[in-house]
Amino acid sequence: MDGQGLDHWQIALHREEWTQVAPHLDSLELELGRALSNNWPVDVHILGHIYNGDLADARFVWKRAPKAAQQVASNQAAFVLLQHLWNKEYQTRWHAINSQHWRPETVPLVIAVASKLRGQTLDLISGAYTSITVEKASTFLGCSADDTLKAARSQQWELAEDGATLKVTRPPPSQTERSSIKQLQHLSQYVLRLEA
Amino acid sequence: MTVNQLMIAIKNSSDTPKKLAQLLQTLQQSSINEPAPALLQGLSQTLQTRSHTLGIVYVLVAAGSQGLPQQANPQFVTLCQYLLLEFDVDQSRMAPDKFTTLCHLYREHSILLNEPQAALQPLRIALTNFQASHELITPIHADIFQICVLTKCYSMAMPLLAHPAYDVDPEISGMTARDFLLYSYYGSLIHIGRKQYSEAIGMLLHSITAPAMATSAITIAALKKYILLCLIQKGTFGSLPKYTPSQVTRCLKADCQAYMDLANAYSADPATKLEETAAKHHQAFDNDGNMGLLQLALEAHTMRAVQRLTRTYMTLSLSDIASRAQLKGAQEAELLVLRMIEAGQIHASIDDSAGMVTFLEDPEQYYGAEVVDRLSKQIALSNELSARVQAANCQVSLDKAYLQKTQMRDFGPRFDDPGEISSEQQMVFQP
Repeated sequence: MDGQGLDHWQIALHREEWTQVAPHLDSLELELGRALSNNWPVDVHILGHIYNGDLADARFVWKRAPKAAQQVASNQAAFVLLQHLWNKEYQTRWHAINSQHWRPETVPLVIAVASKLRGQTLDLISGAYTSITVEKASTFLGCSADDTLKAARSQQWELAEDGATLKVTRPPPSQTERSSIKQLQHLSQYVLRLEA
Repeated sequence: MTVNQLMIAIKNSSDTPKKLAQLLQTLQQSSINEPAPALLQGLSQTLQTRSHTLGIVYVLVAAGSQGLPQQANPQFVTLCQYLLLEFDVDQSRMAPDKFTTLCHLYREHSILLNEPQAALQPLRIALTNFQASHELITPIHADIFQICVLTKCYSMAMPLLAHPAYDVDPEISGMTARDFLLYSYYGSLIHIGRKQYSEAIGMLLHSITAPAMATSAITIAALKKYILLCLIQKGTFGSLPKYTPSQVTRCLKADCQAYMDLANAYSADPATKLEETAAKHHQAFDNDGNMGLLQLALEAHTMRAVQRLTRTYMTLSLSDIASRAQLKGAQEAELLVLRMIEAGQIHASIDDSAGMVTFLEDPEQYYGAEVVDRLSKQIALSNELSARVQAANCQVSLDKAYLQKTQMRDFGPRFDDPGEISSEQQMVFQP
């Protein structure tokens, strides 16, 4: 794990520019032009791809990692998280996020990934459920019942009379900007051209 | 020609275009048979990569062709690396076939040395410099894709696949039919690895429909993957496009029987027949390295069953979905529906307290600025493609050999000399 480009991903990590972490590590790997070394930051590399939603690329980082690196606890924790995400196991992935094996320097990135996942899960519940139990929502969101209720209130979901079910309200469809005159003009030109 | 004479000839003939043309002629006419160590030593002591690119390419090809496929040469790999990182583009384009052969040899030696990843960056730089435009497919593309697959660095091939490629010009790039088939096949593997199945289908179609007098093993491998991807992506394998060479169409029965059986079982009921067929041909799929795709096709079959339900029912209980899609229970059905909603494969909402699923219409109204923008871009792309096809058609119509053949067919043997055709008659062949 040496080379001039090393700093770029570390700077990105330090500046919390999470989307830049994985591309910098990809570039560094290409520059070094050799198989990954045992002390390559596999965990950061995988988490970086997860943050960007590139699960396939994260999977290949794990496949490229040498056996010794795959035995490192923090790298294994990243891989277990990736497995849960890959298999879309909504309820169990938080066990992986809450793993005790993350390295201290990786923790901020893990928190960023968790926060992003939580937001995505809230959107998914909003779009997929009309009602959901507080318990199930808690396991989906990886937080306590109280925190789930807080998140539900922020989404304007109502708690049913039984006190255990949330009535999910879909967010109003975003006001999609209607097509402009210019765009319609373009389309008309195309139609005229096709008819000519 | 001894090594010394060769090196002196290269050194003294690389400074002007005229001398370079003479050197090219000399190198084409003479065969370099000296042993690889002597050639590589002479080269490293005498020549400079940028000034003597043309000569070095010929010497390296002669040296690198020795020892393969058993023995790799580390010195050859090092010298290739130096050259590909820094070479004279004009000289490399004087002998495109030799230059791309050198890239093939470099890739082969690197793989034999178990250092394929080291070849990735030099090959990418070589391609960027050698390629006249992004739209031109070269033999180096396939080398890079193969290394990306081998080293599992799939994302590193994406910048090359992101550009639409239209041109295959053997005169500029030294491209052969095999290079094109490999480009399409390895390109599809990259897309499959990154779960971009529709792009992969497009790449595989290039291999399958490429004009061919005989069928290549690459085409058959592409055909097998194509059938599986069609099942995953579309839920059915209909037939190959009309412009597929007849030799390839015939291969469906001769070489892809297991895949055709699977495709037939895919559309038939019940689902157990599909599992039986998959189990029966397990070995064939395994031998072809297609077990992963087979598994995905089987999973997609269950999802298709749920998708079919949306056409018949407006509301259905989770346990009903489970029984109709042959799932283990309501919990599994809920998870599957949730995954499909997330992937945008169905539009539905789950009522957790009642255990019911309501299937909804597509919420997209298709009138927003974003949709119109996408539509405009797609139409612009189609227009561009249409213009390219017309230009290609025009080019073929003006081709002397083509004109001669069509004249023979249409007018009989009256016009033996194409020079005798009037401009009005030539216009007949133009679009």
